[in-house]
Amino acid sequence: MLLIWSLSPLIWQLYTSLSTPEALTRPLEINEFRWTFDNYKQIFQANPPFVRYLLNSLIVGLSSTILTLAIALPASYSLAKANNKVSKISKIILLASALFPYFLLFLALLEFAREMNFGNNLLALCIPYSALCMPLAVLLLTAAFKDLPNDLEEAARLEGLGLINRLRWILFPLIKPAIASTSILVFLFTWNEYPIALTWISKSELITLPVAIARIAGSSVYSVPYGAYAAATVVGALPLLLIVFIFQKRIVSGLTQGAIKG
Amino acid sequence: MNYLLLTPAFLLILLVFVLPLIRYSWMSMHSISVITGLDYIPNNGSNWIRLLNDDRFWRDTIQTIRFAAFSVSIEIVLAIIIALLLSQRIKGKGILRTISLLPWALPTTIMALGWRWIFNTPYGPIDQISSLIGFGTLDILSNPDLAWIATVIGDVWKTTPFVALIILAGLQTIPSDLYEAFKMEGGSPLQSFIKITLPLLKPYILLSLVFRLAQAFGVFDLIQVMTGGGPASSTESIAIYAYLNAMRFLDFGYSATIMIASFILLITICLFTWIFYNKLKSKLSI
Amino acid sequence: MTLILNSINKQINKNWIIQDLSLKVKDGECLAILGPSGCGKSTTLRLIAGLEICDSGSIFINDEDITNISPVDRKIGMVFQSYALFPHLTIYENLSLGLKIRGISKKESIRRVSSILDLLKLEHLSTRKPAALSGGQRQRVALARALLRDPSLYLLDEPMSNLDAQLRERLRPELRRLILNGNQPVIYVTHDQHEAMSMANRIAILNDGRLVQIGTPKDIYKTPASIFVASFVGRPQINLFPESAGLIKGIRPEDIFLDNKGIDFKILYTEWLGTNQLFHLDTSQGRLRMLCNADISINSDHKINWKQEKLHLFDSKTKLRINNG
Repeated sequence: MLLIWSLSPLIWQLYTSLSTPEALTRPLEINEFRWTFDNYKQIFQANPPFVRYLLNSLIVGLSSTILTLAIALPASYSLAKANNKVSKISKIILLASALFPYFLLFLALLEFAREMNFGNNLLALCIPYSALCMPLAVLLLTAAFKDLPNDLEEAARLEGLGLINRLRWILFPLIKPAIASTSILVFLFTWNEYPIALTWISKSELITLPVAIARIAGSSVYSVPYGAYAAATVVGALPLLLIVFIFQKRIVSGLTQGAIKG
Repeated sequence: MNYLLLTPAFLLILLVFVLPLIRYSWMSMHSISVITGLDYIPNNGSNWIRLLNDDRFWRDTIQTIRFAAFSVSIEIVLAIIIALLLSQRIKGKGILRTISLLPWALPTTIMALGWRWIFNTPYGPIDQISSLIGFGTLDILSNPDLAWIATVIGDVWKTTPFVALIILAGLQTIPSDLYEAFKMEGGSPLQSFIKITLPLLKPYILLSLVFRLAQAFGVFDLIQVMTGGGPASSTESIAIYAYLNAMRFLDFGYSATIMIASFILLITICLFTWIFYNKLKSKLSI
Repeated sequence: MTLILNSINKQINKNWIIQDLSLKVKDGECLAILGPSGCGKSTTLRLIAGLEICDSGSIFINDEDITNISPVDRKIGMVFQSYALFPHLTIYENLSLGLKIRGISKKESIRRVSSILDLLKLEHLSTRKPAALSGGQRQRVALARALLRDPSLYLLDEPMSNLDAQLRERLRPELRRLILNGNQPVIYVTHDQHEAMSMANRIAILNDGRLVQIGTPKDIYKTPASIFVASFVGRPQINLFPESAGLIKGIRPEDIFLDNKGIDFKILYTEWLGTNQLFHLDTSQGRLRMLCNADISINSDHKINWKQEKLHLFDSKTKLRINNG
């Protein structure tokens, strides 16, 4: 039941993507003209080619992940060491930000992008993205730092390791699992984010995957080229399928920890 | 020295979360639109007066609450069932977990379009099957009374796995000897679910409830792509209305007013849910 | 080398953890710090190590004031209760990390680490990670790390409390061979009084952040300075008689003996302890514990008695000792 529920819409997409336009009008019949790869050819030969959007999303995803970690790691280290009052208040602020329906921010962010001339700049997207992911990242990483026994860091101090060395040799290696799951969550968010990417980027060779797919859909409910669109979703979903399959455990433990500490 | 490391994080929160809200409050007190040549003209709260009398806003509010209430409650009930299933010792649990994660990991826009195709008239599988068994086409997405149900289905499909994982995490913190002790006392499985599982899951259910309510209240991608707010604005959410005001009608002052209003509404709803939930819980655990 | 603590104080969250603590430990001397949990013994160790900073007072090693010196420069070999081995590094990496950071050449570092591994008979484990080692082996690696630092002072924080009783007994001589025979002061924190008595030259008893008594194990046992020390040290616990005339008297269970004169008693129950047995008695002086040989047999003529000089006398107000053993 669960399998059918989760998978059937996906399988339908795959099925659609391999169908000829004629077959689409009679989706339940099977005949010799049924199958085709034309939809895939079409999206890869389009201008700009579909791979371009994957690449854009990848650039945004990676840069946001790195920036998020760069800000969240030091913050969570110091939060894990902070006294009760500071950490309690910070936690509430972070949790509130993490729960915030970020769509409400799009207009102000758009103004900000205009002000700073960040429109149509893929790398600039990592600023709002990192800000939106950072609260959750800090909560997850703080929990990971807190789980480390204090003795380990003190033993390292006695061994002569300064803060940088301690982070480099002891702390970061030990929270690697948490860093990995946080990175995956951030990456998934940026890969999937729509409204900000939609309003910040207008040049068609710079748009990210979700925006590209929404564009394929066009504006009218009735004129969507479903075959090509389905092919696009399959191609766009493949990297995520891979990520989910490879990092299934990490994602679950990341979400789980987030839930427990929240 | 230590707190220095916290500063960038909190500056970023200030920049991206707090400043926009302040900015919106200020914008909501001004007329900023194509009519004013995008200049800021103070208007003594006429945005707010317009909002109070704007039938479309209030209808959208009710539609948004309807969407949020239905999808979140269905998600939580389903998620508890799924989490209970996944916590059993069954074969292929890992694969099952992976597959149930998929909908959550995929971009909303992708799956929103997917659902649009599934509900398509007359070529989508739903309508095809219903014609096949003699009901004719259902035409759900063009029916103002039914289209919102399709959006709820899309949302439930996408976010249930996420909620299920949070609940599953909660289930795993409950020591199994509690159930064994309860069994020794003669409790039935249903009783142990009500007396042990639910009360101990409370923080997790509450967390997912608040989180999902907040997200569903700001729903945008799903509806924008699936129905565009139609037909006849019957699925339009507050977020879509705010988006239309800003990006299509270019009335930024009013759009900001809508956002502030929806933020206030959201906080109120979360507070009410919290209180209601606590009351419900204390009744259950008597 | 000598360690001196000069009336140090430490407050954490507005609670006094250490109050006016002064100590002096000579080279080669092992001082055990003993006390109930929360008495401040771990904090004392952390203050000496520099992991916490004193609010006031000063700490000297060899006449050098180290009160405000960083932990590394204090040259301290510390063994943590949890051993604090880095779980992601092999045993060899665990031991060589500090040398590498301190800029010691690779060749020299290999030489030093292998000689220490040799000394502790750990060579065959050098490529394993801590998780693959037994408790006793981990303890020795932690010890090896402390030895490698060639410290001017050893601090051992409950080094054996995570080991089972048998292993503890086997490791005690080894610990003595490796550390206690050197010429550095050793501070040994423990809550186990048997361990303290068997390992230490002197014992410092801490309660509520204050030093209540310091002396040789024998001193502490024979002439406890207060009711607290008397009842904290010695198992089975000392018998305390009800207060009379501003005095509280105490007698150790082993100082009570069977006699044909003395006071009458009734046996409530008996605990058989192997070589000894412990009788719980009801007497006109209240309930008393008496420790006797295991093979003793009691008949109805027996009374119990003790020698007056074995009595410990305490002031009932100050709870301090008033006789001189």
